[in-house]
Amino acid sequence: MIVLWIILGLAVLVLLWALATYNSLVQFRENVKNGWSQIDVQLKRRHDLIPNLVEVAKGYMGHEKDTLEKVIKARQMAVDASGLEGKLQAENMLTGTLRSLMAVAENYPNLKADQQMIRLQEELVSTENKIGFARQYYNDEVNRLNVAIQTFPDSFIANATGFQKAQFFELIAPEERAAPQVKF
Amino acid sequence: MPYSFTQIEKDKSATIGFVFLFLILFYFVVAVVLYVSFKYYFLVQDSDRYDALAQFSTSGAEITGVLIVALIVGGLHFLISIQGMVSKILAALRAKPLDSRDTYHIMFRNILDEVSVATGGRKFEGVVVATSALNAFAVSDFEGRAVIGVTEGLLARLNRAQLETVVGHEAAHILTGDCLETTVITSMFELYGAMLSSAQNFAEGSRGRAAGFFALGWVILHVSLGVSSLLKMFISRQRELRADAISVRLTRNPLSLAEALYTISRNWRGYGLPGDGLQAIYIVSPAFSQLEEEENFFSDLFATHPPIHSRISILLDMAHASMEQLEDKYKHQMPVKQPAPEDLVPTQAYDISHLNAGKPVSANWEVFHNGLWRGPFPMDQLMGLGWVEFDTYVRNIENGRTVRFFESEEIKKFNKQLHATGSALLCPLCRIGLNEEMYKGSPVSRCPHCLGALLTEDCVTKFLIRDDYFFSEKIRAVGDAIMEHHLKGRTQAIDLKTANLLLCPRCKDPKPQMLRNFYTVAYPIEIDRCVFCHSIWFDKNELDILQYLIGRTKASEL
Repeated sequence: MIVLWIILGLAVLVLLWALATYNSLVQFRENVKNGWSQIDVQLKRRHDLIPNLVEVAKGYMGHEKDTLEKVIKARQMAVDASGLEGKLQAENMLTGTLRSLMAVAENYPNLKADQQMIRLQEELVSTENKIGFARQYYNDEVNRLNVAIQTFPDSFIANATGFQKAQFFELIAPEERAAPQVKF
Repeated sequence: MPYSFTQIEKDKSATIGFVFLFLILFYFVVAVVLYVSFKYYFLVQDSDRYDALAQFSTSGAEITGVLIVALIVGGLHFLISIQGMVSKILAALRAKPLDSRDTYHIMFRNILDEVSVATGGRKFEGVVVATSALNAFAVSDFEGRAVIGVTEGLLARLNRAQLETVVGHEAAHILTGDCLETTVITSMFELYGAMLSSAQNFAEGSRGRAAGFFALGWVILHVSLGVSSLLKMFISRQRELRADAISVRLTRNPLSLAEALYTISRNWRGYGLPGDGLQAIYIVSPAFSQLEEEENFFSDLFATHPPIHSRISILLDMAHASMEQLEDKYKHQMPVKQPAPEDLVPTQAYDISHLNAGKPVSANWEVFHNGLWRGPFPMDQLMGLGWVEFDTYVRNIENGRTVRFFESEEIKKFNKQLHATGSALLCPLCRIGLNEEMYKGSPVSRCPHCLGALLTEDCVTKFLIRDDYFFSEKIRAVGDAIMEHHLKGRTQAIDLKTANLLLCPRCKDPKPQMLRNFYTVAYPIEIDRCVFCHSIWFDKNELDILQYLIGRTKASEL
């Protein structure tokens, strides 16, 4: 009789553990989703910002049509991109073109002194940082989820209930790691 | 292993519970002492003293009664103190909301949002304290309001990355909940201490009845300060280290945080300002004290911050850098400066749309300048031209009449219409509308003619600490000459009888309310200060000269 009670007690304990584990895994997965939506919000902000930036820059750097057009094109591609892979590529390209725009803008002192440009640059720097932080948060959460899914004994629950590893949001080339540097 | 927020949540409620118990105990002890002494006093009056001592005893019922009183008083104290505690603390610190047009404030707002993203979406409110001291603080309440505050000095002296790590540190206090603990503890006693000590300064020197209140206040002040230092036992010094660590986790930048702490510790941290007693809420304690800088049993018990050098060296270890490198960098850092805008071009023209009501603005004014007729300009632009003086000749193309600027009826009429709404500020000298211009990242009201500027007190503080500009040869020469004259003791006092006192543009009082005096005894720059709103009027170049002189003093101190 006592043995039966002990077995029953153990079964209840295991069940409770399984429930708790499942719930924490769900929590991790929700955090990952939340992290991804944060990145999305920030990317959209960046897309909204770029037309204004190009508009202001146009007034000062008429000779740099090429650079400006490249930025606009890259932005359009980023807006249209879908799926994690596609977004990653498009955003990386956009970052590259923005960086070259900022490098060229260095040669235009009047543009750098423009009040509207100063404000837009601050917004851009902030948005780039936010994208970086959102990516950092997302990757941290992905890491937590992936570790939880693969470690024993939580992996049992994860496999049984069909949890899948999430994908990191990584920058493709290591030299792309730095956000466009805007100097004041 | 990431720390668990639920665990921290539990810790937090336990600490606040302890504070509450402590409060009850404090009032219990006070009530017992008062009760026993009163009882003793009355017994002595009733009968022979020795007899009374023999009868002296306290029953269980009496103790229970005293306990209930202590519970009620302690509970009321707790409830009243936590009522709107964040607003009370912010008011005591004279913290103000951010100015949405000031570029430094915009940057701070953006950094708050960035850190918010890094934490996964927790929102923070931002405030600034207009002082040249360097410090930052965080307060939060039970309803989830979380406020991060910085001083103008900090905004001016730290770069973006350093400011980000400081905000990360304060955000960490809010996330882990120890900000709520310190806010509760601070609002229990220290806040009253801070209020009393400022009242004390005010009451000093008064006699009679006021002096009686003053003495009572003195007793309450010192009791509450004593109790609050006991309450500091509940504030662990370790939480600062933990907040530093979380800030590094959020921003991945230990070096910038080390630099920020180093810069803060090397400058004035706000000792002597209102609210400097609320040390637990700051990133670095405002007052330098031996207690804070030591590591022993008493320090661990009563200090609120770990020694600053050990905090910096932990961070430097993380960044694989050394103290020598940090000091070297600090010594050789040079702020990037732009030339001060002397030949000002207004950034914002008058909004005259309501005057024209759909009619196109015609450019029909010419101006005689340097031997040539320039223009034509529309009326609003004419007002904004920096080189148009009061006696400059202007010509109206339509009727061909040439007059001096101040003689023109049309211009007078235009001005009258322009300021008919009453919201615009008028130059106290020229009586025309002040333009808004950006100066050191902040909007300033400046007269387009005489180039004088109207500044609020906070604005002056802001400009004196911000290092954006270097000044021209002319400004430097005038500044040097003024100081040389002053140091030889030749500066003459302002004769208020002959001085033409100005009307305050902001108060719009019909009587002249601006007092003319020197900025300080050390800097003999003549300014006009409104006695009511404390706005300051600087004549052309005076603001620049003052900044140059103060910068000169600072440079010689280094």
